[in-house]
Amino acid sequence: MAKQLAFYFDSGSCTGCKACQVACKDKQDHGVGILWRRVYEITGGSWERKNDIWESGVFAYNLSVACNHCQKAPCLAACPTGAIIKGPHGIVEIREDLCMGCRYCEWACPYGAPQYDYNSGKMTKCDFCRDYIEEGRNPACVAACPMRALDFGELEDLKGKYGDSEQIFPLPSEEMARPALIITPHRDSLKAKKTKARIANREEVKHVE
Amino acid sequence: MWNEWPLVLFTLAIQAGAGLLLTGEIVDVFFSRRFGFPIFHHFRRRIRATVCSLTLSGLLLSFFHLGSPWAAVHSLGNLRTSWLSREILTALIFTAFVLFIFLFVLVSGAYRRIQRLAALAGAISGLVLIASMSNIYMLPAVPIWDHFSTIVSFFSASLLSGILITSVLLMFGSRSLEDITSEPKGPAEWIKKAVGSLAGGALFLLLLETGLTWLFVLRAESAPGWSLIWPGPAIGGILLPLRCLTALGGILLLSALIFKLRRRDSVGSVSPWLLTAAALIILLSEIFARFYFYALGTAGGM
Repeated sequence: MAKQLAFYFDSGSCTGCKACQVACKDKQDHGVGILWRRVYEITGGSWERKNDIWESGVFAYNLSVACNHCQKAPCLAACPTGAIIKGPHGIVEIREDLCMGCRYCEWACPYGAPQYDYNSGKMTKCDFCRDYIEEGRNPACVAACPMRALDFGELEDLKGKYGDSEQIFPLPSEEMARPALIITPHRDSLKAKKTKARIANREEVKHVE
Repeated sequence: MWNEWPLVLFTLAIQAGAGLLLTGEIVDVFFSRRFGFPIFHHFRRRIRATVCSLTLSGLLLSFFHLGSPWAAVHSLGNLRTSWLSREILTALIFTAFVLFIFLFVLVSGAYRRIQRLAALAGAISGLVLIASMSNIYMLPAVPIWDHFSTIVSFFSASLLSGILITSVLLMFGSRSLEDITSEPKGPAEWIKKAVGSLAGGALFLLLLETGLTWLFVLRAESAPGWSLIWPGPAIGGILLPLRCLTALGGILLLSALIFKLRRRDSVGSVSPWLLTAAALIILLSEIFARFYFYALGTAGGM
């Protein structure tokens, strides 16, 4: 079986400090608007009255997401020029010379991973810090996390280490893309499924024009 | 949101071109069968010149949407899985037919059979193009687009614009026909009936499209990740009221036109500007609807 690198994220440990997001931006030298790794702040719930007692059902948790280098990558299928390829180690990469900047991959990706660079007129996305990996180092986001909430490795190895992935809000169904992502859910992520949770920092993580 | 303008105009121009080729040729076939091929030559020339202008300007506009237009030479590189790649291929085939048909404008009534076959093939390729174009939006990642109503609304927008442009061209051209013949059952009388039927069709399609816009709103309201962002001002909260107001204006003007056509003896006695005003306000309505479609679709999800 071909190698497939994957990310691991522990939502219960994440404090939302965004060191991963900043480390990625710093390493890639990205300007405003491009976030290859984004930390979503999920909030929801309310106070509920049970008999004569008020109980708090308010919750919040974080979710750090970059490109999940999907095994069934919708961006790759959608790209009209064939600029998106599955490279070594299962990393989904963009060939800049072929990209015409139509942004169709941006629509097709359920994780918002491909990001448009207005300066070059091309799409960009997380390359798993391939240069670092080839030097035997950790990707910038993984190395920066003070809580060790992020990890990376072979998908099968990560499954053995952390168990199978679980779906938490606002991630879409795994069937859509078969992402190479393992998540340990935050204890409140179950509440998000039952109540109307929302992305509190939408303006930060999704650059809507 | 507003920087999607090339995409909005490209889709509307190409859809109008495909719709006009279809409706224009259908009217042409019926008219020519009744009154002979040469008498419709002026209309045919105008219809084909308009189809040609819409298609070429649509293609030109599509380049403004691209960050790196020169790399578009690779755009047929993923026909196996990409609907965008397929759309570009069908757009090229459609354009080739449109240009080929347009050439016959220069040779008047000659090569009728080839003209008819080329027009039929062009109209079919136009329908395939609209199908490819609407399938681009069948993305599981954007659940509010990924619905049969997107396909229906793209086809109805295409037919609606085709019908409106055909009617405007017919009405402006009908006066010259009245000079040629004043027979009571002559071409001018036939055009009056044709414009009345086309306006009725346009009215139906406009009502259908306005209904689909509301279906889109309801779907956005119930889709996870979209429900709480509607109708935020950041994604153009003004667009929906504008779409509905202009659609209402179009409905009223079209109704007035149908009413007048039923009461008057000749199409020449009804001002073509009433229909032109209806067509322009409906075009504006379609522009608002398309901006709303893109704004809401790209605002949700992750």
